[in-house]
Amino acid sequence: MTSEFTTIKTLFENAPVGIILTTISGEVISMNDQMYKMFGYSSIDEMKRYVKNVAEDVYANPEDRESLLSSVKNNQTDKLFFIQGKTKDKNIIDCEVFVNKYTDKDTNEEYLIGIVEDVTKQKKTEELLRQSNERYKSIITVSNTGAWEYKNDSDYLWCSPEYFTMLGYNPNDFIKEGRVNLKEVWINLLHPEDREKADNTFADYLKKGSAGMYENYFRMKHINGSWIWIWSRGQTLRKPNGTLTDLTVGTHIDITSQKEAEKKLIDYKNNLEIMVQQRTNELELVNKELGITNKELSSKSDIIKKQNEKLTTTIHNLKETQLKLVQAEKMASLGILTAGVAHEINNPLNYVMGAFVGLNQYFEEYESSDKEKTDFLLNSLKIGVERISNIVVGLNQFSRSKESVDEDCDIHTIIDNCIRVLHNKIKNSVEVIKEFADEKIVIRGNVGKLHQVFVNIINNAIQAIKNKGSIHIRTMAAGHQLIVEISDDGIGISEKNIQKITDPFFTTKPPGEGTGLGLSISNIIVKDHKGAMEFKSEVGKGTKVILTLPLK
Amino acid sequence: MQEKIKILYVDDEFINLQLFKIIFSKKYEVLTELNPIKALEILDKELEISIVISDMRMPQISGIEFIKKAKEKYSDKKYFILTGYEITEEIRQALDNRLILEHFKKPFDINQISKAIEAA
Repeated sequence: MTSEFTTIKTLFENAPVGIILTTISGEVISMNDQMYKMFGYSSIDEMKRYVKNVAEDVYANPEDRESLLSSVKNNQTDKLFFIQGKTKDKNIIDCEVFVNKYTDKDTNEEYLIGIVEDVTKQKKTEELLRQSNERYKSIITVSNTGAWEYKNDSDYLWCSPEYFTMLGYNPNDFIKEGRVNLKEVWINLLHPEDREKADNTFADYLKKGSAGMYENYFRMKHINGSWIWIWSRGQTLRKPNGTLTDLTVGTHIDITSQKEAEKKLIDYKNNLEIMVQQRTNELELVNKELGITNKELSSKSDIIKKQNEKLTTTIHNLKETQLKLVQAEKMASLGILTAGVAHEINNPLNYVMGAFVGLNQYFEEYESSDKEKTDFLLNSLKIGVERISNIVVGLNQFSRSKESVDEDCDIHTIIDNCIRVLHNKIKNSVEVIKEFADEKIVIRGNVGKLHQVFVNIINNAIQAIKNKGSIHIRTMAAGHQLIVEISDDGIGISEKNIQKITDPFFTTKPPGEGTGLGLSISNIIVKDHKGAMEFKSEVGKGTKVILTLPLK
Repeated sequence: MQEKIKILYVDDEFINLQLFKIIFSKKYEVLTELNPIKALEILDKELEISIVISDMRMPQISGIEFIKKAKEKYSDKKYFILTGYEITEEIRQALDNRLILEHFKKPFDINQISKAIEAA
C-alpha cells in the first residue's frame, strides 16, 4: 500500500503538467511542483498564501471558471478547456485545462482536479504562423492571385477564395458544400475548348514526374458568362532530400486583359496583314491594269507602227502617183502643144499638098517639057508632105480624144496581121518564130490601136537585127493576164537608153527611119488598155519586150 | 452630060480656097467663102449647092456651128469638115449626130474627098 502511494505521489510530483486540487468554491487544497512553478511561485505555500480563490487569482478571466464548473456539473469531464491564467507577476499565460470532479468517500466533500499545461509558447508559435499565413493571404489577395493546393494521392483540390472571386463567385458557394472535390469545379468551369487540353497538361505534369514548373493557360467561366483567361502555375513540393511529396501548389492569375491586349495585338497584326494584303492586292491589280495598259499601249504602238508603214507605203505610192501625174501632165501639155502644132502644120501642108495635086493635074493636062525632072520634083513634094503628115499624125496621138477600148481583140490575129504588114520589111535573114498559146486569146481593147503597138514593137525588133537573126513571139495566158513576149537577138539597148525609150522623140535610129514617137505612143496605148510594157535588154545580145494586158 | 455637083467650101485661108477650087473645079462646080456668116447668105442664094465642106477653126464661128445653122435651114444638103485637127470631141459628136457625113483631114486626100462627094 505504502509503495503504491509512493508510486502515485512520484507520478504526481514528476508529471510534466501542473496538477491542482481545489474545492468547488475555489480554495487551493494541493498541487504539484509543476503547478506553482508554472504560475511563477517558488513553493506550494507561497502560492497558497497568494491565492485565496483560484477563480480570482489564477484565472485571468474569473468567468472562465464558471463555464468550466457548469461543464463539470453536466459531467462533461472529457473536455479540454482553453483558458488564460494569471501568474504571480500578473503575467498572462495560455493554458489548456483538463478538469475532473473528485468526491471524497469519507467526507462526501466534492473537489476539482485540474491538469494544466502551459501552451503560451505554442500559442505564440501558432500566432506567428497565423500572422505568416495572413501575410501570404494578404499578398495573394492584393495580387488577385488565386492559390490552389492539390493532393496527388487523393485527387483533392483546395482553392483560395481569390480562386473564385476572380471569377465573380462567392467562395462560400463552393466551400459550403463541404469538402467537395474542387477539381471537378475547376474542370466544370473550364471553357469547353480548353478543357481537355488544360486537364491533360496538368495530368502530364504530374505523370512526367513534376519536372520544373507546371504552367497552363485556359479560360474559365465568369459568373457573368464571360470567359476569364487564367495563367496557372505550380510546382509539386519536394522534401528536403529532393523526393516528391503528394502536394502540388500553385496559383491562378487573371491574364484576361493581357490576353485581350494580345488578341488586340494579334487582331491588329492580322488587320495589318489583311490591310497589307489588301494594299498588295490593290497594287497587284493596279500593276495588272498597268500591264494591260502597257499591253494595250504596245498593241497601239504596233497599230501605229503598222499605220506608219502604211503611211510610208502611201507616201511612196503618192510619190509614184505624183511622178505619174507629172508625166501625165507632161503628156497633156505635150498633147495641147502637139494638137496646136499639128493644126498649124497641117494647114501649110495642105497648101503644099494642094499645090502638088494641082501641079500634078496640070502636068497631066499640059505635058511637061522635062517629064522626068518634073516627076521627080513632084514626087519629092509628095514624099515630103507624106513624111511630115506622118509625123503630125503621130504627134496627134498625144492629143487624141479617148477612143473606145471595148472591142474584142483576138491577139493572135492581130499579131499575124502585123507580121503580114511588116512582111516587106522582114529581110530574108530574119526569122520570125511564133510560139503562140494553143487557145484563142481575146482581150478587150481597141483593135486598131493594138495593131499600132505590135507593128511598132515588131518593127523595132526587125530594125535591131542588123544582119541575121530571129524574132520570137510568145503568147500565154497567166491568171487574169495575157503576156506577150517579143524578143530579138539584135543589137540591144544600152542601160542608159532603156530608161528613155518611151520618151517622146527619143530615138537611136537614123533620120527618116524613126520619129521617136513609136514606143512613146505604144506605151500610152498599152496604159489605156490597163496593161504594162517592160523592156529587158543587153547590148549585143538582144531585147525582150514583155507586154502584159488584162484578159477579158 | 449631067450637071456638075455644086460644092460650097468655107475656109478662112484664101490659099486653101484657091487650091481646092483649082483641084476640084474640073469635076465640080466649086463656090468658096472666107467667112462662114457670109457663106450662110450664099446658101440662101445658091440653092443648088448640095455639098458643103467647111474648115473647123475660123474667126467668126466654128465650122460645126456654121454647119448647124446651115443644116437648120437646108437639112437635105451634105456637110463635111476639112480640118488640120484630128477628130475632136466636137467633131465626134457631129459625126455621131449625122450633122456631118465625114471628117476630112488636112493635108487633104483628093481621093477620099472625091469618093465622099460621089457617094453623097
